[in-house]
Amino acid sequence: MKQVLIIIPAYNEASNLPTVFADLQQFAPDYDPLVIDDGSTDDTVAIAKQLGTKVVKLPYNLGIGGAVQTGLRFAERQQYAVAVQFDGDGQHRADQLAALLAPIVNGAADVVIGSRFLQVPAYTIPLSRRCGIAIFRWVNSLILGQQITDNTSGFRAYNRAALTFLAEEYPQDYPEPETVILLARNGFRIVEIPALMRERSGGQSSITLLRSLYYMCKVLLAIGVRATARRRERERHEPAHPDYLYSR
Amino acid sequence: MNQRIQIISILGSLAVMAFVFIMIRRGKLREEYALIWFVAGLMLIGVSLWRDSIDLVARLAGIYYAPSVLLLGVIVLGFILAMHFSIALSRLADQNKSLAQEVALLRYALDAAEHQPTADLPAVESQ
Repeated sequence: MKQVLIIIPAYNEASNLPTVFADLQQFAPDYDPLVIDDGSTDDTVAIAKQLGTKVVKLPYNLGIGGAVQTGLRFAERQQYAVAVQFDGDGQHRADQLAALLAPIVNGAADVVIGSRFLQVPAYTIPLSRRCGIAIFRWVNSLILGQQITDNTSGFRAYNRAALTFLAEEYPQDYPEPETVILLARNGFRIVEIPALMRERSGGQSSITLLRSLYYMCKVLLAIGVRATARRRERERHEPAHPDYLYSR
Repeated sequence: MNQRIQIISILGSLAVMAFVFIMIRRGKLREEYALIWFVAGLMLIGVSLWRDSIDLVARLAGIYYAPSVLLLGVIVLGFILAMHFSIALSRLADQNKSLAQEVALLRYALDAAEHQPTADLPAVESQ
């Protein structure tokens, strides 16, 4: 079984990819990066190939959920023990990967979420987004009885059982909060760790107010549906103990 | 006097059903989607032939103004059709997503195979 796959969903990230890869090269050279090109119209694919990484090119834009799921399917079929979700926009930091993987390595968790709100000082995030994050925190905690502070964080690691499960079914656009419910409801152990992230370097967080309201409603509906859904039948996987991750 | 509207509505219903039938024959409409239209056509014919059925339903349902039963029926039918299409669309979107992912993964495997014909090939077997 191979080890860690770093899934990097990228939609028009040609300008950010070199930085992301320099970062990965420096702090996580042993892991396999995989760029999922989500129908980019810029040079994302060419740049990624130049950087010498594996690239899976979707024929057209599926949105973040479809792109990440493609990576999970790849990880599942290519027998990876762990899959990490790592944004292509430079927001996530490779030097945080060891901490993110640790709970999976000691078998304490199936899913690890890197949270921006567990360290001091917490991140400065615009009020509107902060409201959304607070609502998800409240709703998800209420449903799960477990406090997840950063439901919208896309900095996550999955062990073999979790990645196999999600390869089969992964929520679509704006999938993070919903995935938390889906996983928890199906008995996966979720652990949060404090993670440092960078402020968005390039571009603005393009989400307008109306759009974020729409997403809010959509995701809350999806969470509600998930919360009442039955558990999915799933095969029992051997608990993954990839101790060798650190021994390299 | 009212015979005329009855004939017109029967002819109309038959025309709808004939149209659906022709569309299926030409391969432009799949049977699964045509079924609901057939049912609609049959109901129309039924109502045209047995006009008292409207009054009967109105009486049973306690609807004061009988013709509104017809209106209600049309609205319900429209709702069912719209729902039917939403479900069909959702399924198509799902299948479309899976297909795109499969194409992407296969293309990756193909590229890998072309570039290193002797090395161990990535496994692409599906579940």
